[in-house]
Amino acid sequence: MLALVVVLAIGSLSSSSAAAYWSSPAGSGAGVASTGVLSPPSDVTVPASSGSSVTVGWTASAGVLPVEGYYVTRNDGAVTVAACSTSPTSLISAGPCTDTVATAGTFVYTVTAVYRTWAASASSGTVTVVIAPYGGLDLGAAASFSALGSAVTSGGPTTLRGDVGSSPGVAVTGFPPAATSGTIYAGGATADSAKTAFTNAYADALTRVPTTHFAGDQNGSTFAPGVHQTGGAFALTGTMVLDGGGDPGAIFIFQVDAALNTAAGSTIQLINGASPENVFWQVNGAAGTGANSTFEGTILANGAITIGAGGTLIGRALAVDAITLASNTIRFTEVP
Amino acid sequence: MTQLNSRTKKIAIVAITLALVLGGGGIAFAYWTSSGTGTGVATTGTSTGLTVTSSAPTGSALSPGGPTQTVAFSVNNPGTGSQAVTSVVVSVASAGGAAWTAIPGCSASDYSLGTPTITYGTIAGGGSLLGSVTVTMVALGTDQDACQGVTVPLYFVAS
Repeated sequence: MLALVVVLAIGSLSSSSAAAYWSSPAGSGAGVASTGVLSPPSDVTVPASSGSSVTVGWTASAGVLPVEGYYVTRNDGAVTVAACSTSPTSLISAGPCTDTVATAGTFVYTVTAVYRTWAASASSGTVTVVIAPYGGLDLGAAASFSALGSAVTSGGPTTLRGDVGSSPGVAVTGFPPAATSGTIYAGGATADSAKTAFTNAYADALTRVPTTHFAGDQNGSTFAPGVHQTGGAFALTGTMVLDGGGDPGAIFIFQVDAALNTAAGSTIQLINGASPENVFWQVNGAAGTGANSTFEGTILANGAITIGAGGTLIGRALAVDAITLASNTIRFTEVP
Repeated sequence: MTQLNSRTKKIAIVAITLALVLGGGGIAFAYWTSSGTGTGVATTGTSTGLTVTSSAPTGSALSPGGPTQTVAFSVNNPGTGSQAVTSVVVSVASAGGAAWTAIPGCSASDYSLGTPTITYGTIAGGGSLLGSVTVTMVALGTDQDACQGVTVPLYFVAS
């Protein structure tokens, strides 16, 4: 019997040890986490109607997430394009922004807030854009002049196709050896009238709404017809092209809000119908072309104009201040 | 002959008892490590499956590469006997552990779970073990707008 008790005791201990290894059947349960929301911008506004420069405004996203920036798109009812020089990878920190529209139409703008891989958008009402047709500048009485300034000085055998005049000064020097097929007006009513027409044309150029903006050296650039604006100086160290797109009436107006300078030997090429008669340079400062360069179009300078030695100007040099020439060729058309 | 029979009976009793006790212990062990079904002669009752409950998340709402939320959970032993817990696995999944497909464009791959924080051990009958797990949203570098405002389902498995 003692043996039986011992065995039972051992058996009991064995059972206790088994309980210590008791593993549990798997159990399960559910839980949740919550994902936030990126708030879109609000109050996206545009004017009911506008010229080619449309101002788009909006109120910043009001959510707790720190918006990285915004991009803007414009939709004409069929196609959505980038606006305000923004894109999903080129954001602006806040509104408003100005969008330049090249074609008339009715548009809706959408402003999209971006936070990492999230985006949230809001759209504006419609804006009707009216693009005033732009023609060339009306040079009026200045149109017959190849060179017009407060004074005109030429060194060397410059040849000009049109009139030469000075106003309000009376100095026209260097003729001969310089020669012109037109008339020299050293002061006088004709020169004064031409200067007034020049002033009006310059003012008209300022009112034209830009269709593109550019900056820096334009070597290698090609421009389509339009009003092209730069807030700084214009520089050309090589060749730039004006492409008329097959339209012999294509107009090119350049608005340069500082000086204009081209390098020696630089060239402007006119192709596909572009004509020097339809190219205008409004320069808010002095203009100078490089030696032996070829420049195309009418220069209207709110300063002096200097044509580099041996350089060719196919167009006109019209300036508030003095004009300096040096063995140049100045004519109205490509063909002499 | 009578004494011999008596001794033989004692030996037999001891042998049978030993066989029963040891055999019974073996059956109980096999039962406790099973999924909870089957028969046996264990005398300490049946094993009851664990349950897991969780609390509402704490922390700011999730955003791509953004804040971390913490979800507290409790592994519960609804039975009367002690049960050992050695593993808690958490996943972004629908009920029953099924793949979460409720939101087109947003899936479990948009989220990341930390390793559950819990001290494994034995839970007494009616007791529980407490733990927590962290949740973040991964910035995948692609459009994740579909995940905005989404409630993310978590599925816990404790064993």
